[in-house]
Amino acid sequence: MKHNRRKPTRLNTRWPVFFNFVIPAVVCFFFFIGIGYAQSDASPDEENCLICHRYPRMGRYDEAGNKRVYYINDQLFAKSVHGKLRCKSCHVDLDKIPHENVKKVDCSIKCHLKDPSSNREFSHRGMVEKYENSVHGKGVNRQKKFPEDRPTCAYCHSNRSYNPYAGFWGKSEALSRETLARCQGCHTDKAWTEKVYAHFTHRLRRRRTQDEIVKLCTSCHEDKQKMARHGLEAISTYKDTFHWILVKYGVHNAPDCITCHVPVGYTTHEIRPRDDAMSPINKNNRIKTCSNQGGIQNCHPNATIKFAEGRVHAYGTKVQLMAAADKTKVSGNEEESLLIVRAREEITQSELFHYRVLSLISLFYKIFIGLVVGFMTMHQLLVHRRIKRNARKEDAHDAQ
Amino acid sequence: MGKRPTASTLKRGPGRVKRIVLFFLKAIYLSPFVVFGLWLIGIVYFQGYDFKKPFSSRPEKKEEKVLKVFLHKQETVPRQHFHMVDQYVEAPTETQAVCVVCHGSYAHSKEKKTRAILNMHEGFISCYVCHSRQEHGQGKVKTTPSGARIKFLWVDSETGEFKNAVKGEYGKYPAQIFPIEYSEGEDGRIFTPIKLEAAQAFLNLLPELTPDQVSSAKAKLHEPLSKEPVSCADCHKKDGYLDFKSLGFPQQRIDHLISTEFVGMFEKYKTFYLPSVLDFRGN
Repeated sequence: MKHNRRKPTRLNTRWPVFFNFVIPAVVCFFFFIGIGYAQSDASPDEENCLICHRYPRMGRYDEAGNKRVYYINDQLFAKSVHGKLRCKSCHVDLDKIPHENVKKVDCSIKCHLKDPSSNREFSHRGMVEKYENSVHGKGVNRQKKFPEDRPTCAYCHSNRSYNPYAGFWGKSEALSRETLARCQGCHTDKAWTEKVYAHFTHRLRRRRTQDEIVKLCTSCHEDKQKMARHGLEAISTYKDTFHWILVKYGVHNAPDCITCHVPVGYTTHEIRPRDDAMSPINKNNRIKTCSNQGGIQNCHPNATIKFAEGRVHAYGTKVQLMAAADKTKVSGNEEESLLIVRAREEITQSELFHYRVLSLISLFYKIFIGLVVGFMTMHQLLVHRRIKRNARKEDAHDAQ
Repeated sequence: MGKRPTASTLKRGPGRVKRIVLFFLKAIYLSPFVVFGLWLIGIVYFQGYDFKKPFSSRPEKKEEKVLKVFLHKQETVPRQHFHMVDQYVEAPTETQAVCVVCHGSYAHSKEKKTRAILNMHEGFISCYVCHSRQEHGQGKVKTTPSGARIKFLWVDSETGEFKNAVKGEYGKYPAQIFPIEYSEGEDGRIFTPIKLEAAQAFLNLLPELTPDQVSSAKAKLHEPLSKEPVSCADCHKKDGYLDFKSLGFPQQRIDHLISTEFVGMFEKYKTFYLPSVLDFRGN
């Protein structure tokens, strides 16, 4: 059987090579370049905001004299926890230049990112609702007093950077790389896997040290005037405790504010007042809180009722007001009145007695130390005087 | 037989020197105890007293708002800026315009439309470039009032060295553009229309000055500056006030800088609406 096969010419022997190898190679090259570009650190700036905002000195002083920095480092931002969001995902209604009547960012809006667990648009709404109901929130059904005193989301949270190589293994980059390599065995999209790994490890790590937590909380709670407006005493009472001494000297797992006010099973967005039955510092929940059941370490595993009833913070303004002679009168000062009202509700008779005994002991030691040191000083001066006088007498005697 | 020294004889001669030396040694030895005693008295008896507070503080005099803004809030980036900012925001610079002493690093505040954009330029262009316009004669030759030739050059932020070009992009440069004056037979130096000493003297005297005195002092200080500073359109055009090529900008960047989009946006429109086609909300 004769096959009518065309004799290969020089030209058509080259074309298969071109179609089979060169074109696919070129297509692959551009495809991978495209993927590489898509997975680069560049931020998704579809709105072209960076045309102005990538300049470091973009900013101004506002009317109150505060420095407003409008600069965005797109590469840093892309590596942050919000790095996949567009500017207008959060900064809504910025539709003209210059930006006027700029609304504050509302963290409860939908982010237009799919939540992989539900496949719905992600939002912090649930968290924000919990927070608004908490002791720090502005209130949901009834607006609380002094809303300007209450911390906003951005007061406590910054847009932190992901670092996939500071994951489970402390600072061991090699071990983190090895773990990531295992993940990427199945999850072949390298950028996606890195992002998920970074998110996972970021959430598992403690982001602030104990000292930083205390600094954050005390940035409001040390403000005497602000606290008095809400009937609270300034938090210097914590800094007179053994707990703070441990934090101050960097003891591992030292108890900061979170340890007692947000123990295992609670969230920082749902901190409640201590008379709330769900509060971890409510008298009925204190044994569990002191023992820190389920925590990294059981702080006081054998805590008894009596132990848990004890004061953690030192005595402060409230008990001082209660102990004052004119405690029955409500002062003309509204803030002080509020403190007295709350002090009457919160300070028990036994605590008042305890405070009075402590005050007496303190007074006794003040006088006692003064007397002892004063007596010793006087004694030494008299001895010194006597020695000098004897020396002079001896001189006079020798001269004669 | 020699006479033994008595207390009266000790008051004179080498014995006196010895006594003074001994006194100082004793004082040095005892001073830590005295300090400790004072500290002990402080913590036992004066717990509520703030020892760090100065003993006498003059009541703060009312200052002009514009000065209060930056004199008391010394250039600090807001606490934990939500969008992480890098070192470029507060890049230290050895050489800076005298204007910064009073006006801070964000000097423009009046014109709402342009203030942030103009402040943006402060990272890489000295105030003198625009606010001390030095074009004289028909050919608009750039000279100082004294006739020295002016050339715009980059001044290294660390070393103060003059350079024709530097590496960087989008406001992130290791240098700032300054006007450099070249008098005959002299090396180039930064043209400084306002003297630093004058600005500092003004600030020192400010609390004592009346509002009228402040106004006239400010007018005098700003006298060497141009009534009409260099505008956006003066620079961002072909053959504009600054020669971008001689400052080492690549041609592609120059084409962008002299394009009219932005200048037009600011000069032609009171408010510029972003095209809604760019808004992807809800999609």
